[in-house]
Amino acid sequence: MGVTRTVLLALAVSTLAALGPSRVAYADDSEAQMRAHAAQDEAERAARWQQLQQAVFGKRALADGAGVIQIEAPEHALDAALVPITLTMKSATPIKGLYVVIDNNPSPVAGHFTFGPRADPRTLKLRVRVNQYTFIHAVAETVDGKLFVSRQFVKTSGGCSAPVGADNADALKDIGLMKLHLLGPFSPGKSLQAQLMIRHPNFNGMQMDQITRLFTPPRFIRTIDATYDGAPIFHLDSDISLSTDPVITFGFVPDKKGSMQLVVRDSDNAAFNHSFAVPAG
Amino acid sequence: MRRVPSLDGSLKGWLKELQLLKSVAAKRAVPGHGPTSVDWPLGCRDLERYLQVLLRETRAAIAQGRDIDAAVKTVGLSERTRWALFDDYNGHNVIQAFKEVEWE
Repeated sequence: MGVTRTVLLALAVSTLAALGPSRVAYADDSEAQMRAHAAQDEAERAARWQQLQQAVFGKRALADGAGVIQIEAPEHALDAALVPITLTMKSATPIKGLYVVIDNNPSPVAGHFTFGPRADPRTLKLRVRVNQYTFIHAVAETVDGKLFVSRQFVKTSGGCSAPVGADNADALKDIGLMKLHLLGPFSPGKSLQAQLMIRHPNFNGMQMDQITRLFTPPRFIRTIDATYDGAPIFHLDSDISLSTDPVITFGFVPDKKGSMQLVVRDSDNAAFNHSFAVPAG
Repeated sequence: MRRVPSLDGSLKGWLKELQLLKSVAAKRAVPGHGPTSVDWPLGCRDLERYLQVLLRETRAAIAQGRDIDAAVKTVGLSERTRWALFDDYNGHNVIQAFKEVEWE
């Protein structure tokens, strides 16, 4: 992930430089001018995705994800620092992985999930930071190595630099605390949705302390591993785009009464472990 | 005053501060929006009611297992006709309230 990040960050910087200062549409722009701007925006977005696709997937083909993967996100996000997205996946060939790419974020790959034998990847929910108007691409990978893509455009901005809370010390107080909610009744062998909440500021290095005017050093979640009685549910490689206090909703198949283990590692090499009984209590 | 409050910090913190401000023995207060001055503490009645509705209904949504994107569409709607700019800010306020209250 380290290498990919560096490549993508370099790519982000070079793309921004190539695009030059962003244009502003003025009220007195003629309709023809506005259409020209819109066409140029479209071309830039397509070029951006092409670059990203190559950086993340190389020469591998991406098929239209219609019927396999669907991404839902608010068209106009109400809070750029907390944009809820829902991924719905359906495939005859089992799905082994999922990439969430926020094209115009400083580090676009928000997360890469790898699903294990105890996963039910049909529905997955995340909360992300969105820095500016962007496509969010979701790419599902089936066990035979095929990739399927779908996308959603999200209008909002400023999510990456939005402060974590009123007070950084407060944000770090309960770091690593976790809660798990089972969103349905437990029945052995039956798929169950779970909501995992993790206390973590997920500082991305772009947030300014409003009093000292210094940027808070980055400290964000790098990986999350969820297992059930030792068998993997998912592994997540995450990045600076997850919202503060991440909440992830996912499906899993508990074969019998047992426990879910969670291991969260962050960029300061801190590891947080929790175990939850299933069914609860 | 008149325009819907915009919540950026802590909902419970705001309600707490409001209690403190209400105990101040002032006859009038100068609000951030609206008239130049209002009767005190009567002038903060609408604000306090809105914040309490937000807190109560967000808690109820979480207790019912509703997700953040579902809560945004339902919480606070009884206040809709009472405020200017309601549709522009209420959803954002619900998100702020939700992420605070879900950790209770």
